[in-house]
Amino acid sequence: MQDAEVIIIGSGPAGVQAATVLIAAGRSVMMIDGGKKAPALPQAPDANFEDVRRNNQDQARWFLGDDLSGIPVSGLTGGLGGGQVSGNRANVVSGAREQLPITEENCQIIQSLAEGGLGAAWGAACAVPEESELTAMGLNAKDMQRHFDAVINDIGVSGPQIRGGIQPALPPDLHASLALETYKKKQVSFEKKHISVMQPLSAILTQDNDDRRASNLADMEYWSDPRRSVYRPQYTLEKLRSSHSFTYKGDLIVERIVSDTEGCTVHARRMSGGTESYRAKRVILAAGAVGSARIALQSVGLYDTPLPFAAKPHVFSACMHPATLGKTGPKSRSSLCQLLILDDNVLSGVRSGCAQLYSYRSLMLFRLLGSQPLAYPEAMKILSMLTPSLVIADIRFPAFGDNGSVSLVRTKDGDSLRITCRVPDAERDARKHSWQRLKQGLRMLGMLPLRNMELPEGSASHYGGTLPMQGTNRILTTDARGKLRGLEHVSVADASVFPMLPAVPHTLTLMANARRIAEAVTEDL
Amino acid sequence: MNQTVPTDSLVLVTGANGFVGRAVTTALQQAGYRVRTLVRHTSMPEGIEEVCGDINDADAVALAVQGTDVVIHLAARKSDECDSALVNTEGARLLVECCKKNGIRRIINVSTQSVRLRKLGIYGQTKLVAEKIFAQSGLPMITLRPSVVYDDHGGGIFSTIFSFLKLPVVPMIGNGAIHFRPIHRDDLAAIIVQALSKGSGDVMYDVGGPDSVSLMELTCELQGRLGIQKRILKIPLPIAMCIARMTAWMPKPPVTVSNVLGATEDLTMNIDPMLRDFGMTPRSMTAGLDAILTRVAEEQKRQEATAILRYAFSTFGNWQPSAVEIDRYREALVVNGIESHPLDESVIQKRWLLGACDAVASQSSMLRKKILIASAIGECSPSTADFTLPKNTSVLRIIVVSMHMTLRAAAKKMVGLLLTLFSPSFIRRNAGR
Repeated sequence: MQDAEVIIIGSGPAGVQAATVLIAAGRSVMMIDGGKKAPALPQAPDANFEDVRRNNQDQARWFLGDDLSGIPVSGLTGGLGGGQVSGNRANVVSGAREQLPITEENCQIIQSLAEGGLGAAWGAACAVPEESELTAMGLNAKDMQRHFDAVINDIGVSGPQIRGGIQPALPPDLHASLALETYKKKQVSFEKKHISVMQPLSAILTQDNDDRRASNLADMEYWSDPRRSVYRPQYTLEKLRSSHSFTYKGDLIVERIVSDTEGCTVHARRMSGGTESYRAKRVILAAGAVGSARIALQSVGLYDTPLPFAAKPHVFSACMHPATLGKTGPKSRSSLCQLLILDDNVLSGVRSGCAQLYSYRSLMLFRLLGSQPLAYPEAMKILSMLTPSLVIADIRFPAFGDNGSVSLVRTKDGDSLRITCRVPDAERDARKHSWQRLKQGLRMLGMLPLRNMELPEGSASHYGGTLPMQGTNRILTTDARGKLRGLEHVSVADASVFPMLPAVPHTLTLMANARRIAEAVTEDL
Repeated sequence: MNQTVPTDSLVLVTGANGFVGRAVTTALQQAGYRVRTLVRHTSMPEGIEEVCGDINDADAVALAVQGTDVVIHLAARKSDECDSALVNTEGARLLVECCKKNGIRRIINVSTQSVRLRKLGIYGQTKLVAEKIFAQSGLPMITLRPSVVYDDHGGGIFSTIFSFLKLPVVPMIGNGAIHFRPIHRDDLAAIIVQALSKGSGDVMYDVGGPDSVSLMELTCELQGRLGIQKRILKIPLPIAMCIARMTAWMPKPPVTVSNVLGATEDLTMNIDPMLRDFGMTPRSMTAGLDAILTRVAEEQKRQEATAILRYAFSTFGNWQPSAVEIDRYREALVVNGIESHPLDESVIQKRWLLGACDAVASQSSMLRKKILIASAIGECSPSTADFTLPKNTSVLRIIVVSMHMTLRAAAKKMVGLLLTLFSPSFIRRNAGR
């Protein structure tokens, strides 16, 4: 008795892409997922941030959430990035700590049980990595191209026209347009330093696509997106659900996969109580690098044996952009990444650093109060004048698979995942140098880095490398087609398979790869 | 004498907008009586007839009494004032005259326990004369002699004690051992309404609550419940008397001769007739205190919320948070588990103290969290949009304002540091943790 031909675990960016391919190939798919939903709110305000601020009596529901968890007074919501997993997106992380016990050493790990996984809080930054980078990630660049095209077509990506199928770029905001002008003027000196500057690719529509509409540049992307311009895995999930050969099972935590000659049985625990088992010919793990590692380790019963772990490191440089002082710039803009600054110095085949520039207009002043020393009212006043000229550079570096480890340990409260980050000195030095170069790049663009914040390992919430594609025969590694060694009929479609993560945004790559893996599974069926 | 009053009768209340009067008119309305009031200024809610005039205005009083069945007499000067005799005594005389002409069925005269003192102040004297005028009128009378009156809002005796508890030392006239029976304003009102239809041949009732307490006991009880431990300064009676006489010229003297006299003699009240005839037992002191303290705590939390919200935007202008923001702020305190750490009253009242505490508080302190919450709640209100949204402005202005703000923050820090030196416990209490 089979419940579906393929069971996919996880509804994140990888899971929904894999499911899309399988359903299109006429296969029956069951998706097992945590399935925490965002709170149901009335019609989101489809107005510009400034108009919402001025006129909307209910704006706190959007900016803080009905549970007021968007106020950064404690814990996870305290950081600058916390705004993405609190308030109306608190569901992205809710229950994860309790349901998926974890011991963190020298890092801060974000797990999700939400519909759409961490993709529900994705900043939508996209990139197509260079060929050498894809190779470093264990991928064949040539094979990947059509999968990139398919993903770009499916989710809708806008930005510079570097390839077909990309929608026109969003207009750059005041910071980005001034910086791009400067870049053009001084291109030679930038080239000398191996620094390039460009508008990013973003998973935001600038042209209508089915039931999703083009962005109206309301600058509200972080708070509400009634037009569904920014891609979320939930939208793909909605489409999948309309297919008869797709079944969705939420509220479940997969405990273990048991393989036999015929296929696999997935044993899951219902969060509201009870256990359930489902059978399929094949299982695709798409629970994220941490989640998939947990399931794999539990399935083979491997305790106290570390698997490699790669957490993409990031730092913040808060910069002043004096050229924009006192100028508000156009009201119509997006709050997504405005500009990419790349450190093109290559290290082990990948570029050493990538700064994503965000302007700080619609991100609310109160989020900055906690990170400055002045009495709050004075700080609010100063910030209200300076934030329009404030640029936050979210700088990311490559994560090599050996910058951490993950293992399953027995504790008195049951099994727990222990994640340890130990960054090798060489990698730490590489980061430092790249950060220096990127800060210099920022200065050359006319932006003055004021405050530099090193952030905990893992806080960028991009993980990989736990079940890496390798030529070895080691247990719990994957082959080039994503098949997991040591667990028959199980493939891995998420970032677990990348032995390393590049500095440039890799979510697009993991979605493209999920499609590739799903194709391989289809062929094998 | 034992005539009862039908519930659709027209009842005249004098002193209807006083502390007790307001409760009485409400209670009368609820009991179904038609109510007419004699008031100096129109102030009554809808459905209550008003006759405007002074208790010494013969025409007004005559007009008010005309056609009424019962009179409840509450109008009085409550302490020693220059016109106490005029209001309390002559007012009674005029009222009696008018009542005689109109065949009033019953007069309820609300007097005071003070008339029983051996040494009477002006208040006691005038009220005692009034009692005699009513007694000699031959009109059907019920006289009520209430002890001190309080209510949930902390009015009456409690507002006095509360204001004393805010002082560095708590002053007390004499040794505070004199007992009284505080009665809730609503209970007194209920008894007054009952007195319209019930009451035996007794013409005089002691009216008080079930518990007999002294001022000292009450003060200690309140200190305990509020978690305050302040020294009580007992002012000897002769000195208190001196102060009372020396400050008698003030419009609102801190203490009057009658206050002092009231603290000299323990009056034993007999509330049994009251309990027997009016068929209602006033609430216990504990229940009354609970209600008051809940109310006071609620009021304080609201004040603190308002103060902190306003403080968070104090560099932008005079922002008034709405009830929505205040409620949301308080909800956020609950969500973050920091609602039960109140600030000192002085910090709530004085913005510069709040600022000084803010400037020296650590980032993880309760106070910083509260102000951060206030900033967040405030920044999600349309009323602050003009403050926080970006504006086109000159670079010079940005520099000047930033410098001004930095200096202002530095000044706050200086004050905060000075306070830390002089009163570390104050800073620890308000800006610590």
